[in-house]
Amino acid sequence: MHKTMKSRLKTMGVGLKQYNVVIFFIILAVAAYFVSGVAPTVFLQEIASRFCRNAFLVLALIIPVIAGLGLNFSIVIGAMAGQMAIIHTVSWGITGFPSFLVSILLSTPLAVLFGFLVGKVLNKTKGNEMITSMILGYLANGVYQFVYLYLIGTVIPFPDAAMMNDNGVGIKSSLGFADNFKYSLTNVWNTNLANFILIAGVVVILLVVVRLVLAVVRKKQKGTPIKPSLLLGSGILTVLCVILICLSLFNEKAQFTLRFVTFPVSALVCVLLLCLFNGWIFKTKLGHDFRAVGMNQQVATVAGINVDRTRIIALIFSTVFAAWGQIIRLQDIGTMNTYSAHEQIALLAVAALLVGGASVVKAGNKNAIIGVILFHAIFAVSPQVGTALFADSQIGEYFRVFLAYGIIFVALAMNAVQQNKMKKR
Amino acid sequence: MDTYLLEMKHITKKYGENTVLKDMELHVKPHEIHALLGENGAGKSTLMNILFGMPVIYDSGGFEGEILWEGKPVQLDTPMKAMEAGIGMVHQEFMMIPGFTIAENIKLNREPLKKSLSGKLGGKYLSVIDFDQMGRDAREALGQVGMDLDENTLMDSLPVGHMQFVEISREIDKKNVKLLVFDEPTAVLTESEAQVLLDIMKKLAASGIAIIFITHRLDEVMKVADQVTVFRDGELVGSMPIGETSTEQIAEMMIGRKMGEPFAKEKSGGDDQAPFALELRNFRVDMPGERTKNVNIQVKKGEIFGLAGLAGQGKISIANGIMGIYPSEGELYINGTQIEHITPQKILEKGCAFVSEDRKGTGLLLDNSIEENISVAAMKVQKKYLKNFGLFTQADKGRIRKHALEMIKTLDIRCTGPSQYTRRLSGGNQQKVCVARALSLEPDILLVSEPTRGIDIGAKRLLMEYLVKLNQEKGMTIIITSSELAELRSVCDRIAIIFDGKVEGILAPDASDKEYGLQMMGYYSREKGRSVEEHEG
Repeated sequence: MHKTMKSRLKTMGVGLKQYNVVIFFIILAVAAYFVSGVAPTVFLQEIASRFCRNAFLVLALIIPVIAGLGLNFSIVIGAMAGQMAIIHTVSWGITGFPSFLVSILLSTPLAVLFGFLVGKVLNKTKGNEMITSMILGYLANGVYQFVYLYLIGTVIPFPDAAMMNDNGVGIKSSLGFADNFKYSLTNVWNTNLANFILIAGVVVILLVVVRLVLAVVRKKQKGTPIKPSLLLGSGILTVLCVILICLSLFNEKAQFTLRFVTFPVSALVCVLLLCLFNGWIFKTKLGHDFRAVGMNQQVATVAGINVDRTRIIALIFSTVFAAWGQIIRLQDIGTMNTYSAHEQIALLAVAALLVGGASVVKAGNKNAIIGVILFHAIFAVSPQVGTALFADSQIGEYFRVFLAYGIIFVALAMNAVQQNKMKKR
Repeated sequence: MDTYLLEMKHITKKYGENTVLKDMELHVKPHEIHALLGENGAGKSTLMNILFGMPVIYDSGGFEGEILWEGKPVQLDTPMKAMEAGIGMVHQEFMMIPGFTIAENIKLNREPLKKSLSGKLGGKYLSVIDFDQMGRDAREALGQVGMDLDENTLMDSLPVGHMQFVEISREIDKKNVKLLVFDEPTAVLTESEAQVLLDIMKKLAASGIAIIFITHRLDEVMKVADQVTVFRDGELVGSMPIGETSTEQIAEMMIGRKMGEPFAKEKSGGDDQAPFALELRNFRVDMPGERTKNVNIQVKKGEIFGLAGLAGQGKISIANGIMGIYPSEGELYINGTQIEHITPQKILEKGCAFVSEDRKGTGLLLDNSIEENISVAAMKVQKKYLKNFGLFTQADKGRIRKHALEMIKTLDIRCTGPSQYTRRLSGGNQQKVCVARALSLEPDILLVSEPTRGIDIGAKRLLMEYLVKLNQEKGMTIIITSSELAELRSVCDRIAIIFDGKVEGILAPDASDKEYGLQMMGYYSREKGRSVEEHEG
């Protein structure tokens, strides 16, 4: 009896160790929040809008990780496809939600083509996918700049002179979409955080109830026992939702804070749909092949799986999602640095995924969602933390960049240490 | 008489100039357990690669001959075609995905799919996998091999012995399978697990599946096989029903060969006076894949001593352990003094030199010239070929060149000159450079591993002749490790057979083929081991 208790505690310890990256960053985020002294409304607003902007891009990284391609830095190429689509959509004078839809439609074939090409290259450089994909991103940047800085207006006709440089060659380096593309998705449905909590809380409780009912039905029909972890999880979720709903309804102070935070629900719906897709694809034959190829290419080959083809498909998915993700992101920001908007997204997305506890070989929806929230919690307050610690707002900005790279390094190092320990065991 | 399921006729396979299979025949009937026997390199795996249509065969120019499957000629030029015909393979190294469950591994790339809308639209790849059905199929297949395992267990949490059974379940689960190849399936199993496996093989054969059984364990062959085919050096020695043969006869068939003409020696046997040139007591070497567990050997001064055995039994590791390249335990005596904390430097200083079996890895500096390769060890260990300036030293180019030219002449190294890079040399000439470097140390004891691997016959003869000459003229003690028994028997005074990390026996070069065969298979220690087990049980 004593022994089982002890071994149970031990397995719990091992279980917790899996999350030590996440736990570390939760502590860091909480500490950073209190040091920064940022107002809760501002803090929540930053996280809410940045979450809905970036989560889609982070989720685009998951399939390549599972398919054994590591962290796909070439999502910047997908982002370029998204930007190309936006530039042309806007130049045709399309506005509002249709401009969002047209951009999505236009970016898709481009991203499929780019993903295919990237896949071809990465299949030739097996074992070095991460660095190759990073360099491919820089290379594609050169081609992209050549096309939009030089060919537009000289070789390729372009209808909208206002978007072009004054000499009629190339697109302006900075574009504003205030009266056409901006908020084309966000404005479909957004609400304040108090209302959102109410809606989301009710939906979550309903889902929990449905799940429990299904489990009971299954027990009666097939005799599958109900797992205690399911009961525990449902309980915690319900209590959490009830507390949050009560806060947003009856606590005036909380209500005041939450009312002033707008929450882009439509973008969140897109993110949730991609989560569902990721969950579904790994139940299909294709997703199963991704996993098999990711774990052992040789065994997969012998079993008759076309490894190269599977890897290319994984990259096409990732590139298309990256293009869509960049469109979702840019419509929310509303302006675009034509030649550098894509540059940072791979870094940010990879950092967020790693903060969420993913590794080079293992990643899931959970890692992406938790990671985006935590990363942006830290990222949002880091200038203020820098200012508070060093009393200089300039240093605060540097602090932010340092933090992004620092996070990637710490997360990768913690992962590596953990893996070595696992191996020894 | 029932017809043959598989007939492989007049199979000849060449890799470049090198003929690895010559006019090979294999006839397998349904319901039959057909044992394939032969030393390493006898051509068993090449024949199986041909049967499976492995790319390695077709990338190197295909093969000559004919394969009949159920009486009809077939082209098995991809693994997929072999699989479709109903040929399955239980691999020697486990072809499993460690992060998948047993069920997922058994049904890999043959997953049962649910009928769904996405499947109708997107075809097979977007269909959702029916995990419940997968579990049921897996359980059934596991049941057929008598394994009671939870099909949802992850592969990497299984003991090694069980993985083999999962692999067999996978092959059985392929419903059309008619022929299963077992490649040394019992090598990693314990005695009782091996027994279970043999029973399963019998059961499968009874249910109509033919089995090709590749193994080195003669007792298992005698127990389960119906028919035995013996290979030697890529040629068919014989094929007969098990009832018409005996363990002794099979062993003799495997080893027996035209003996290479023994080298003329004036004196032999070495010096019986103590101390021994080299002595090992309870020597263990931890070299992956070639572990030695407990070796006791005494090598006399002036003797040529051979180390023989099948691949994986540990013979390679002994020289590596002595040289301190892999970690070892136990006692090592050189000329009567014990060496503790073995490092390569220490052993070289004691007058030993080593020609490694791994020419390109630890053997040669491929992007350096012949003369640099020859002189580097002597420069480092004995401070030879150096000009001493007090504070620093400099390589003495003149003496190095002179010595290199001498070596090139005596060993007949075919090259453009002493400054040619060793990467450009042929395998045989590279080996000669390795020998030349070892000899530059002017050792008392020379350890040579696989000296003739990948070398043409002329060079082989010359190298061996030179080793004998060194032994005869300078009284050098030479320890040769080799997979080529005939070669050892032509030069050695005594040969130790290594089996399962221990010395199975020490034989004279003119001992009978039968004796060599039985010892290489570990016949005696396995027999002994079994009788002990029976007494205890």
